[in-house]
Amino acid sequence: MMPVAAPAAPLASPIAEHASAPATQQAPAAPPATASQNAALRGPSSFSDSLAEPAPASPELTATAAHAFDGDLTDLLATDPNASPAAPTIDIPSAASTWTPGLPLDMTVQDRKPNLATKAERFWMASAALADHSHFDAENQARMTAGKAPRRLNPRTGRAESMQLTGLRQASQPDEVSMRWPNESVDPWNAT
Amino acid sequence: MTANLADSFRSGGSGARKTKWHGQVVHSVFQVNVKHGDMITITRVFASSARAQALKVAVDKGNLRANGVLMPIAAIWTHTSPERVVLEVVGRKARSIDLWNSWSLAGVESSWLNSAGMVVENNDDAYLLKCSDGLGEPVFEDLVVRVAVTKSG
Repeated sequence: MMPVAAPAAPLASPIAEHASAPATQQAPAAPPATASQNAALRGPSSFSDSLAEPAPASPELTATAAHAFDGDLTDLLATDPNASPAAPTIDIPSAASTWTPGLPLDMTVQDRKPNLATKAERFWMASAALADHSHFDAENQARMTAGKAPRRLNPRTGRAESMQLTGLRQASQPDEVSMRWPNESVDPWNAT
Repeated sequence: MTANLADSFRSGGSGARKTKWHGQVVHSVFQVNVKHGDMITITRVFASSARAQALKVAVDKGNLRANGVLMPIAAIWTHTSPERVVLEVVGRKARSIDLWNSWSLAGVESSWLNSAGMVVENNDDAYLLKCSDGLGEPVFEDLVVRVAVTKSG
């Protein structure tokens, strides 16, 4: 039976937070008034200009810092532009916060690489989303959507058996994984 | 009233090997008595060209020999095997064989799903297995094979 562990994070939840509020939107564009203030501040010192140009700080940030230091912008920029107390906190995630079907099976989420059970869950969810559904009935479709392997009743043994996966460990995409039912039969005309 | 053939099998309890479906008996697995040295001749009467079909043959104890290969479960596939094949039962403790149908879709080999089942007709010394694969409505014409057992001396 396919061991499928519960995920640490909810796999099915959408990427809503990060998708709707990307980091670029958290640092708003400078309003015209701020830009003009910034231009005025740069005027008095060519030294501060030379330092200020490569700095990634937004015009708003520069203007705010200038107000805080009451015009002594040179001191601020010459020391450490990145240490500005007014620097906005932009939380750019190192990886997406959730996985959804269509994303790579081995995608790192919240700095955690998926283990094999998580990759299996992702594979079944992706398969349910993609599928040629003719293989599976509604019950198995529901299992796959929930990240579980399809099952069948083996009338020879009287037991349920789950579908197995091969190639999952190295796989990044669903089409790199093979599904198979437990099967011990041999084709004597195709035996190797 | 069960919704489909698979439900009908399930309603028969775990391991249901046959069920009644629209007035006829349908088997998920069909058992035939054999013994050591018996020869099983399987002749393909018809096979759908839509996808590869197979008849699986498993002996309870021992092995089967076909095409020089010894195995406990043989898969007689439409796309690899000749139309007529002979399997020899090898094993002093062998008492029966199980027969069931299988099919391949998109590289995945399956049995006992959805609409899968077999209608079996007994014609004198042979059985005619009319098989439905698991796709679409049950149609017992996806694979039709004749199975005859020649008893050893």
